[in-house]
Amino acid sequence: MLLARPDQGKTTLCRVLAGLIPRFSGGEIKGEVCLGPIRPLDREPYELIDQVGLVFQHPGEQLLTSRCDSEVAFPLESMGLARSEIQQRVTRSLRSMDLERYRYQSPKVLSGGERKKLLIACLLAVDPHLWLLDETLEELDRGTKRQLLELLKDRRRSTLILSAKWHDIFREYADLVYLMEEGQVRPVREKPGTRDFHRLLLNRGFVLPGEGSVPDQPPSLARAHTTRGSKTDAGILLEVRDLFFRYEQGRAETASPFTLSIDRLHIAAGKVLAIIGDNGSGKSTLGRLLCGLLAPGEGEIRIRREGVLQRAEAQDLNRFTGYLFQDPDLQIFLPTVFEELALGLRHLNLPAPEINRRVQEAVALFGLPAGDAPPSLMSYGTRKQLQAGVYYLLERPLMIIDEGDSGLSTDDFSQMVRIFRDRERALIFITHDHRLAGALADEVLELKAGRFA
Amino acid sequence: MIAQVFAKRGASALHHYDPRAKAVNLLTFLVLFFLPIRVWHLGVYLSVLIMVSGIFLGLRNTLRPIRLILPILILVVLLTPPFHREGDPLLTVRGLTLVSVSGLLLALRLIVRFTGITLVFYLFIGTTDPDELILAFRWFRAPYAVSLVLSLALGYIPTIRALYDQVRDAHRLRLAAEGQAAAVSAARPRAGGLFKRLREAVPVLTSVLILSVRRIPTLAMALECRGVGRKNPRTSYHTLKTGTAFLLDGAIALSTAAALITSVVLFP
Repeated sequence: MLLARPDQGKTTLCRVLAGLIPRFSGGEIKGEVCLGPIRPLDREPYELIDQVGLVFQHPGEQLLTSRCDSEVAFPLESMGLARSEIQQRVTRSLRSMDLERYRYQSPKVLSGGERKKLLIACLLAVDPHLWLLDETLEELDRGTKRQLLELLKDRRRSTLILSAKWHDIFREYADLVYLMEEGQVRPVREKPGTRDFHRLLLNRGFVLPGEGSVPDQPPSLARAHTTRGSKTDAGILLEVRDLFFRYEQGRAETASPFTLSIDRLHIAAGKVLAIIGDNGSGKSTLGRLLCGLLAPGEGEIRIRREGVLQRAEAQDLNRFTGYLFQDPDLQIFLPTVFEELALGLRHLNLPAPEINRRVQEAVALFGLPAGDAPPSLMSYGTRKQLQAGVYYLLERPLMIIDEGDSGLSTDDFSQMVRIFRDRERALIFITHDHRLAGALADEVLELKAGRFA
Repeated sequence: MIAQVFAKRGASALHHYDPRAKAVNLLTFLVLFFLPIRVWHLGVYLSVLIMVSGIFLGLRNTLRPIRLILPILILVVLLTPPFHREGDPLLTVRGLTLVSVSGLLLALRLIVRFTGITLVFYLFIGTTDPDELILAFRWFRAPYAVSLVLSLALGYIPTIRALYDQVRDAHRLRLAAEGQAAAVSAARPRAGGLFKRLREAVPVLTSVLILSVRRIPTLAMALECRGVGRKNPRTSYHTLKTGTAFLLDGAIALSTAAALITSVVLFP
């Protein structure tokens, strides 16, 4: 287990171990990497696939084919295995990750967490000696995390798990814990889970269960019913009634396609609502419905305009709701931080000095680098902060952050929530971290298979 | 267009037709559409293609590629006759021939040819799984690297399409503000006239291009992490038809090719 706050070099280390750096990035490297008798730096990455397996931090970047089974089979074909062997391994791996029902589906229909599960299935099929999981567990639900860790334990393979957070579940599985700071790796001698261990991590800027702002107990879901059942609309910013949505094409090889059904949901100004749920339970689908990127099949979404709750069409929701995608790169396009932050303000026809002032404010609030810094060279976590800065400046009445805590440290994410918490506005954040949800949100809702639990 | 086709996987007889047989038919039609034969003859071939596509994929799917190339077809109609005014005049103004019969026939030939080629590729690519494509290329002894690159390129098109959708959504949300109708419509390219839609799609396309270029090194890493480049022979998880099924599809392909060639000989 290697713990490091964002921007400390976790991905770089992973890629060095997999033989990808400096081959693809350039740069200077000194010293040696030894995997038993193998020296990855002297070999091509494709020669190492049965030795080292890497799951990228962003699953979308690693998926190559148009079917889930083809995806798992791809490295096995490269290894030259017999077809019958490939078929067996594909079936076994997909089943292990509970993806058998998506076998003939495109990986594009999978949710972010399910895509990570598919990439893990690829590694299961190859079964390399060393597994490198670059923040792979971040977007997985608790059940899948445990399932994966159990599976790795049974296989007795060496696994390096890189994470920006310490989860309690790691205590049961981590044999060794390392800390990475400013490019330096050092072993943690304190036993995981002990008071000394927690103190060390706290000193290094990690927020732990039971410490600081995050309580040890999972959130109470009882409060969710208050949100769904209230009869007064005072202060309500957005309300959902009898919402039903079904994907046109089935997400799985099942008789009925995925459906989302919400009887009633509302969020009031000044409130923070957390939505939790397993991978594929419909969290992002709900987010996309609330910002008008998907149109409900039945029911209605109402938003407060001119003091009255009114039925909202897609364009109204586009203007009303800001939505931070899971992948920040889909929302960042321009060459500099300044350009990125200023774009929306320019569309509002604000004068240049006002734009400069607001951009500087966002840079300071979100801890961004100078305005002329290129986003493409910034770390994943900083790009997420930039993405948040863009929407902060747009001042939407409702903000939705989709798994924003992935790739950010707990305190960075907590800070982001604090920034968006506003008496006049509302915030919904989607997360797998139950404790974080309980600590930061006023109310927590859990989605299970497209329905609120 | 290809992305739209890939996005709509089907289970028609054309989808089950062997890709090698489809390749033979593709080649035959391509040659025919380039032959200097009569326009009405080309029109018959195009009609056959439209009929086959309509029967197996439905009228809506058949019209989709034609709709996409419609702007080009309109340009051909508008620009070809003025530049080919030789032969019998059809429209003259003060002794100046503006449109001649041969100019009009040439425009018609180009339209039929372009539509036919588009439709035949649409049917081939749209009804064939990328994994089967690569196997078909390898069966024809195409170099492995070429097959892989082609298959990956075709397989990556839906990814680019998905990227386009995501970026369009991002633009739609980010640029949506009161009084910003133009910005919103930029992310809603289905509204308005064709040229307006094209103009408004430019910011989204630019963003997609930037993201795609940015992903090249990562894609290369992903490929090598999956073993692309290894020296050992690559095996295949997918298989093509064998035995009677293959022979039957092969016979259909060869019979079709023979019938088409005979028609050219009989009606030159």
